Amino acid sequence: MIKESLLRESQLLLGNDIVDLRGVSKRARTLDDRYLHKIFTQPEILRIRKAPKPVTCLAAHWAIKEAAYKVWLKERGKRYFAPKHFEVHSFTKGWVSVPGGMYSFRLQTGSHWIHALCGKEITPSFAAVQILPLAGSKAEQSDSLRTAALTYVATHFSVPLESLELSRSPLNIPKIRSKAFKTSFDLTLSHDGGFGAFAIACR
Amino acid sequence: MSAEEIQSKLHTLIQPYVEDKSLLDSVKPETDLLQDLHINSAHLVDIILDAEDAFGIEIDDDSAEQMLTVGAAVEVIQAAIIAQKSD
Repeated sequence: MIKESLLRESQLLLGNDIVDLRGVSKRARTLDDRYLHKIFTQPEILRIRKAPKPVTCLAAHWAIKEAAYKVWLKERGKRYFAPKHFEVHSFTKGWVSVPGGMYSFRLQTGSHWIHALCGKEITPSFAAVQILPLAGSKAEQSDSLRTAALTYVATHFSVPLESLELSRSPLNIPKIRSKAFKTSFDLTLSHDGGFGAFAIACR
Repeated sequence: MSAEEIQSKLHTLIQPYVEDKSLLDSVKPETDLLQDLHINSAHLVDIILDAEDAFGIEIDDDSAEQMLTVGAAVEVIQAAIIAQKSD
């Protein structure tokens, strides 16, 4: 469990991404050369091709890029679709280069999912992360994920659930606000296929 | 090929990647592929590849970066068609 004092001291900007590996395996284009060259740099393609499980390695790279983009979007405040500019710099050390900087990342894997959490400046190990199976339509999955994130905050910071609000900025960045106390939560949400994930830090 | 013809063909290409089909009823040039149609970024790459195949063009990385709205995608495809013809 994360200590609240650590979270309060942190200046984390978080981004996450979960990939349902069952969906990746089904995609006809997954390891197609044209597809790979649209998304990945040459060193990344080599790393994916050489991996013992190329599909899982590809999903990990994709998740890291997406998570890094979410952090970058929060930091820079502008949208940018250029997957190759978010390059997994060191897979083992957990560094991803982004336009104008470098972020750290952490990977978690389950039987059917892979999750990347990315943070600015310091390791994202201070963040609280939950992975959950989701059912229903995309809208129902989003609702379940939002409710789970709000319930987590309400429980762990002992505030009434109804005092919390989850909103999105014009750039679609989720944000939790609490009427009960002045804490700004940095939140990141992701869902794919049958899984969802959220990560929370507060400043 | 006119912008209207390209948009019509693009409309067909994006359909498989839009879960809520009702969103397709109100597609306009300013419609955002990711935020309004809830297409994920992995599928945006699929759409770029599908467009390359359907229009017989190549969309380079710099052009792909612009394809965030329907109107921008139409402009990129139209420019690629013209470039293809002049080669």
